Amino acid sequence: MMNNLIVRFTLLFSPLFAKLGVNTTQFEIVLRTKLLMDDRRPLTSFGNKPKKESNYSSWINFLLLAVMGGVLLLFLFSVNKPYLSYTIYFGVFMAMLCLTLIADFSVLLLDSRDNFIILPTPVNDRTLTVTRIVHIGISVFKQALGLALPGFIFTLLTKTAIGGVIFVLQVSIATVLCVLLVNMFYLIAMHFLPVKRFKDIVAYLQIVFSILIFALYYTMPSILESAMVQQIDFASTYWLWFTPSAWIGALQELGAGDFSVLALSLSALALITPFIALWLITGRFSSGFNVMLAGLPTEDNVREEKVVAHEQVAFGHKLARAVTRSPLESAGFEFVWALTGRTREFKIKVYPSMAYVPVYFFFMFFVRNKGQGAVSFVERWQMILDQHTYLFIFYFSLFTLLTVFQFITQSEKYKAAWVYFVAPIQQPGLLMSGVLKAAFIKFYMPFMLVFTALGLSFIGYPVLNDILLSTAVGGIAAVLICLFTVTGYPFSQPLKKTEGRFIANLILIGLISAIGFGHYLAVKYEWLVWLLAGLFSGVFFLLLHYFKKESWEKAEFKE
Amino acid sequence: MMNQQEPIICIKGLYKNYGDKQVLKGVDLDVYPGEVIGYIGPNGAGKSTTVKILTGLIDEFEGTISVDGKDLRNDTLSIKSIIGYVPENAELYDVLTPLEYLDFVGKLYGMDEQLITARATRLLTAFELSEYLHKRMDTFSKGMKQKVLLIAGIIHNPKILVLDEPLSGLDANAVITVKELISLMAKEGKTIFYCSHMMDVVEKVSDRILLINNGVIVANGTFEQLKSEQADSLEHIFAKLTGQIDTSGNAARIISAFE
Repeated sequence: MMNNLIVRFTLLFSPLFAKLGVNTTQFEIVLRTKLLMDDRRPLTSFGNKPKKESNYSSWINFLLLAVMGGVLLLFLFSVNKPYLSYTIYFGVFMAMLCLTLIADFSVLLLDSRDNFIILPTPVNDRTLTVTRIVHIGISVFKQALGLALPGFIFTLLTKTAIGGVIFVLQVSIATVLCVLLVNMFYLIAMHFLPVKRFKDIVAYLQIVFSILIFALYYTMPSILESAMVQQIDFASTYWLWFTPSAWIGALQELGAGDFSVLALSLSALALITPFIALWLITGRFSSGFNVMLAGLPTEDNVREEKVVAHEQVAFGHKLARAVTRSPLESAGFEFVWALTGRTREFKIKVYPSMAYVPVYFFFMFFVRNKGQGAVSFVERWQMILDQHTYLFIFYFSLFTLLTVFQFITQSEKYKAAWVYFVAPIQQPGLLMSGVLKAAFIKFYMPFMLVFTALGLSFIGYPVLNDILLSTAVGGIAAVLICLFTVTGYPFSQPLKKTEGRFIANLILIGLISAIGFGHYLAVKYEWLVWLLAGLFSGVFFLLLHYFKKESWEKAEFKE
Repeated sequence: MMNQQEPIICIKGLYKNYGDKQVLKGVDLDVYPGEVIGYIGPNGAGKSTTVKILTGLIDEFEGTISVDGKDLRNDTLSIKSIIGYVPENAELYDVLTPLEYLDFVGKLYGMDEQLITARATRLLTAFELSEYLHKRMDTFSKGMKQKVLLIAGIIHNPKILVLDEPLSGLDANAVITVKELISLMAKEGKTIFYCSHMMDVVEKVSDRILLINNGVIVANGTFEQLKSEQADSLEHIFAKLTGQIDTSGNAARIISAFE
């Protein structure tokens, strides 16, 4: 229905297209098909969700972006100074739009199917180029509109109708600048990276996007309310003048009747830059971009490519030799070590959860306690050390393992798991023990290494027993999480929303929290912590011994 | 062909249902050591199901299967260790390099790491993949992936090799290599169970042909035997025994659709 309206609207420009040499009948057919495919494409913008079939993907994306746009309103009503509030709003707006466009364009632009579906048909180059541009334009329009809609309504309600019109102009300028930035990003990235690696970069950006939203949600309200932000004087904060979002924000100042030299100059910049951007996009970048796209490989066009992660795997190989005792255990270790670092969907789901640990720690101890408003950061840090509340993050890091084991069985390539089931695996527990060790060392030990380094720097050697006890508890938790929440061999099951192990997860979270609290109570007695560390280490090795004997009958081949 | 040896694979009364649909309706077959069996049949006839049961991918079935004198239900692991399997579709963990993948598969078969590396390197070189040892397979063509799968199927030096459309996506040179490989392996006493739609290849490499249709074996014999009983080419035998008597009629109907 909406697509129909969009296509009809674009067909109003048919005479213009025809003058450009476009076959408008073919244009309509290709555009309709591309929009239909957009609606059936798995949702990708917010990388944390598993891919799901849908007939309205682009509109669901639109709604999700509108919700994100709603979150952005925070900047408009929590910063008291209107000029500053719009500057921050458009700064974040542009960052988000760029990230979503990069993720979305990776599907639209890097789709090489055009090369062998449309090109062999009698569709001329101009028709194909114009259809592509219009299609991308519609996609950008949907995204920008979704993200900006709440801001537009807010501006209409809090300002005059002129404010609303200016807001539309601001969004248009921001969008053009974003397209330029994304265009430049793609050109630079595609120049230096092969397409396969480039898609990984896009995955990493999606991870950054998830972390950004998480961090914004937990920290922004307090930071915006802080005196540091509220007391910024725009006129004397020179560096702000160089940010495009400040130029765009200045337009609202004009609307509010501020015709100062600063507001006029920055507004002029805001009005000129889109034209410069358009000139750069159409005149300078588009040709290079098309050349890059034409060079995209199809499935049979093999590229010469070195394995970037080779050194990393060599490290995994050395680790496997050090910590595993049989070929089967080593197979599980090395397989998981390599695939967790190379499987895009796993990285998108799991890596953000690793970043949540420091973000949430920062929120808990530096942002949340408003009662301690007068206490400086340094004083808060000292309180954390004195009261041993740093133990919280030792245990909180374990939640990363819950996420790791929740997704470790899932893969788009799950059909490749036939190999587990034709092989004579005598002791599946041994294979899974390799999996467990790889996950533990890769996703939990880095935290403990960082904490050890920080602990030794700020506390000294007395922190070692705390580290040892937490690590032993971590090991026990890892065995239990793997045993009770993992339902198959690594990367052997199709992608799904949840594992459906809610109760098991809840009990494990309760257990980890209880042990963590017990550690907190015992921390005053050094000898007790050492004793517990020894005791829990013993329990960990005992559990691991029995874990290796587990039959893993629940592992099934999924066709 | 009469054979005095004990069969290395013996399937008796094999039934398999998927819900209400009966896919295998009492398959009986014997395969002897060193034989190359061409297992053919139309889509949905039950070829892949037979293969999946034989290789342990499906463990729920009716009937008895013994391999190398052992019962598949009771001695699954020791049977798996003497079977090599090459699946129809190039399904593998392609973010790994060929060496990493073969190391993983070899270790699942309990092989020593040094042996795996040495054997994998030699095999990859023989299949003209020596330049790609350390390259991720997600950039490989289908044929290159198929070669890696073939190597994975033989890396543990199995007694029995089950091939499900092994030539899919391979270039002409690789096809010749695989055909010769099959002959040489058979000469060494290995048993090959070869599933395919490509009649000309089946005709050339197989000692004996088994034709399955609608869940039952409808023909069993050497190509010469089938030819003398049925028709002049394997394609025609196939068409006749699977009920597609008038194949040229089908083609004519397709052409008439343009009129």
